Amino acid sequence: MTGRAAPPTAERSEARTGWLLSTPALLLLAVGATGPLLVIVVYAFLEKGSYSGVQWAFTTEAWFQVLFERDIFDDTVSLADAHLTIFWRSVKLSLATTALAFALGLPTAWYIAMRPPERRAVWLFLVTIPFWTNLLIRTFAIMEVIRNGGLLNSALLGLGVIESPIQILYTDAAVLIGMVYVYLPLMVLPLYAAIERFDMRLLEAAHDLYASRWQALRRVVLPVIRPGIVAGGILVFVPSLGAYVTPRLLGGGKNMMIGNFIELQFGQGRNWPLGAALSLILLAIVLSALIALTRLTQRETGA
Amino acid sequence: MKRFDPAALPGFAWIAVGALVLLWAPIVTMVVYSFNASQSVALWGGFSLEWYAAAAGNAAVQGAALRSVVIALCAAVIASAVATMAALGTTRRGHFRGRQAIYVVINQPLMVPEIVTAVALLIVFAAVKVATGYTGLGYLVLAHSAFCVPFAYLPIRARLEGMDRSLETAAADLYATPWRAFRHVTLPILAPGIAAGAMLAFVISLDDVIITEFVKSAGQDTLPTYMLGQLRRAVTPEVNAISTALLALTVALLTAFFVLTRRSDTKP
Amino acid sequence: MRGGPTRRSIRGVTGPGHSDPPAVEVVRAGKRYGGVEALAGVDLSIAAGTFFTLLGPSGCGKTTLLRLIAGFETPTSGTVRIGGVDVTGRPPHRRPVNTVFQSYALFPHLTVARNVAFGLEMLGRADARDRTREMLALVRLDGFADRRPAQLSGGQQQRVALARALAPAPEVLLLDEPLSALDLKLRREMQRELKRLQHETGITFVFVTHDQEEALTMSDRIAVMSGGRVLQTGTPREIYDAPATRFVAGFIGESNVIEGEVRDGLAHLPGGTVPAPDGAAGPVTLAIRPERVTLAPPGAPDTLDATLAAAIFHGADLTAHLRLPDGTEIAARLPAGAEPGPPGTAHGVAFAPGALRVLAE
Repeated sequence: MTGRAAPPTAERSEARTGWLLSTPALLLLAVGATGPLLVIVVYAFLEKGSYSGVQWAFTTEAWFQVLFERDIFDDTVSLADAHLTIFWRSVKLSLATTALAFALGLPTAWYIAMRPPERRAVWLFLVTIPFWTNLLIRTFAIMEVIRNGGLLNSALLGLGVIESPIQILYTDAAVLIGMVYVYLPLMVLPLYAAIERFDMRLLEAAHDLYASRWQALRRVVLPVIRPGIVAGGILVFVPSLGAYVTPRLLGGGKNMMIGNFIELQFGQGRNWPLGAALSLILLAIVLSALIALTRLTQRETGA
Repeated sequence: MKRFDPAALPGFAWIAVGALVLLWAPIVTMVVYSFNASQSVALWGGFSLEWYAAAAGNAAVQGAALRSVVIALCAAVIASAVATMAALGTTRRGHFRGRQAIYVVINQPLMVPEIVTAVALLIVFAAVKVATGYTGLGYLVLAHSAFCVPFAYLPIRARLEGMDRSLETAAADLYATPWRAFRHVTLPILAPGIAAGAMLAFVISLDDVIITEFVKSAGQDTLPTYMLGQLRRAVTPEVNAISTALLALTVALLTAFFVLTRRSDTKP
Repeated sequence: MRGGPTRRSIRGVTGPGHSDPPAVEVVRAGKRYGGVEALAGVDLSIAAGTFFTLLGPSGCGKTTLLRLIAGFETPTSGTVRIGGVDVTGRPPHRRPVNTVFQSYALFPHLTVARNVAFGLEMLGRADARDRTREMLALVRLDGFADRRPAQLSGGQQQRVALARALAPAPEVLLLDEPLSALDLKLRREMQRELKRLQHETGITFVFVTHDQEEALTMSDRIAVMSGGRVLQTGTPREIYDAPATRFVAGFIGESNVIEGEVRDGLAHLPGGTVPAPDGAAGPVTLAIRPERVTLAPPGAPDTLDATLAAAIFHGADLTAHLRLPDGTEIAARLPAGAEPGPPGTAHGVAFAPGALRVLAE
């Protein structure tokens, strides 16, 4: 009955109170999160220090080093193979993680959505608890399963399937298994949310209109649950790409991903500007994925 | 023509059960073997609490546990306090300029990969440490408080949005000054949301590895970074015991969280 | 806290009117939201001890006016006085009025008793406990003191809201469509209950509703509002019998509206002439209630020629819809036993003496 819009003065005081109350949170985040991110931008354009840290001189060397390396002796420029390998491994493993998580997650989410409501709650609880469990603990738990003397190898040996333990730990496969394990709930939950909303009577309507099984799936089910698929895909892909703990523990020292590579620059690598540039690249990829997701969900819900 | 029966897709049940086994088997194994008397993870040597005793008696673990709890408590209190104020500032008032910007900043820790925030904090705090000479727990408390803000903010904001605006109007109508209306009406109704937010912040802080690893000074291990250090050397069943204890704490807190938010769901 | 609402004893004796200052006085109050004018210079005077109703369709400004009196909104222009005191700039917690909200707005975290005691506690009243018990008895909720609002039915919640607002004994009780959430049976019951409470406490009630029947049955006086203005103020009988404008005539009950011209004491209308209402001259718009219209043989003196369009039987009575030669429709409420004949039958339409009203546009 009474309109929400207030006269200009009231509006201004609303805004002032809003900002005032938000100030402590904004200050805390500015000091403890957002501000330091801006410092990274500065560091990415500085010269690396002789021991560690930076020298205050502008250069784009760090960005050059992302892709190329200069020979120490004759200054010839070549592609930095090691870097490219790490980028390729990160993208490849993240995509593979997303695909595997989808292959497992879609049937799981679908199955859960078809249970009667009480049992659905139990299933969801069982998916949610591992999701909230410490990432380190979960990585550690899967490590115990796949290591040479671990549960999996012991079981296979005991069954006589294999004669000597298979080396899984410290391979790309271990990182892949670990990431699928760790991020699977992030795929299941949004898929479930989308499928649960789907009105199954639409399927009957489709069949009533002479759609075959495949046609019904493609023309009716898929469009409706697509937002869930996209959300799940991005929610798995983004943290996979930025993963640090899982590849570090399961991949060993050699099978690095971008996250570990960034850390390396701040540790033994002692090249802070390169680390800063790599961080910004990772950040840019992740943010574009997130923005794409928001755009998409806005369009889907707005339609 | 075959019909598409959504409830009975071939193989889906098996995959779902398989996924659940995948999710739980490692955790269950870890919990079970934390009670294993044998050193070996493959062999069951009988039920024993020796690894819990070993962990509890280890001074490094004691220090790390205490540090974890102190940091998580500080972070939970600070984050939920500023998040409550921010939620009051950004919800239930007319749209104002910059509100969207406030949302973005508050939720920023959810969007930026943790490793990126971690190195950013490393750079800044390293400089501050050199400049001030202070190397205490303050840096960890600050960093944890900051990334816990969005986790505390979300349940508080949800609670506020579900609250009938006319309640505060009614309080004013019944002679309550703005402060007393907040104290006697808004705050008590908001309390479950704040408790839920603080609990979530506590869990998130307790679990953090990456930012802590980069921000901590020497000798400032928390339980997760202590375990990370241990894992780099050799896997000891002691770590199993610590993990299980942490897991139990997390599950207890999350159950409390769900109970609290469930109660706020049943509309008054 | 000033203006301690403790003067109710006097009010009960003096009744409406007399030399007391009006309980509520609104002078040229305007309210704009951005570019929208919600109230356009409203004048209103509500005598102490009356049951006063603001009646109008949604968006007419009645709730805005109520919120101005409560202090939830400040007027863009004009003055609000309560008990003769200018309260225009005062915040709600410093006004001796209490409100029953449309949504009840009961505090979900407090028991029924604590809800009722809330205002008393804020005023620091020592008799809060006794007064709360008294109030719960007044609304017949004695046994419910320790329940939470969520454990009560809609009707019970409504009573708690009433008890809570009455407990501080305000000078004026404001009620914002309090019955709209109740079903018909409960609404009837609460209408009687509200009348009883107003009578027993002697407190001035300002009641907002869009339901004209509710307004007619409950009020001492009614202000009919539309488009941010008060169109007419009067007793229910005045409003019903003598609507001042076409809007009031249409909004309150059913009305026949006829255009015509008054010359030489006669109203020249489509289909004939009838005695003109007093004081009318020139082109006029006239209104008459269907129950004041009767049928006469065609061509009888002081009747209008008409033909029957339809007759609709309602049970207790029957409505004959007639058409004048120019097409104007006239409804006549007839006894259930009347037999106006088939559609097309010619009739004379007669008006009860003095029942025709002149409308201002």
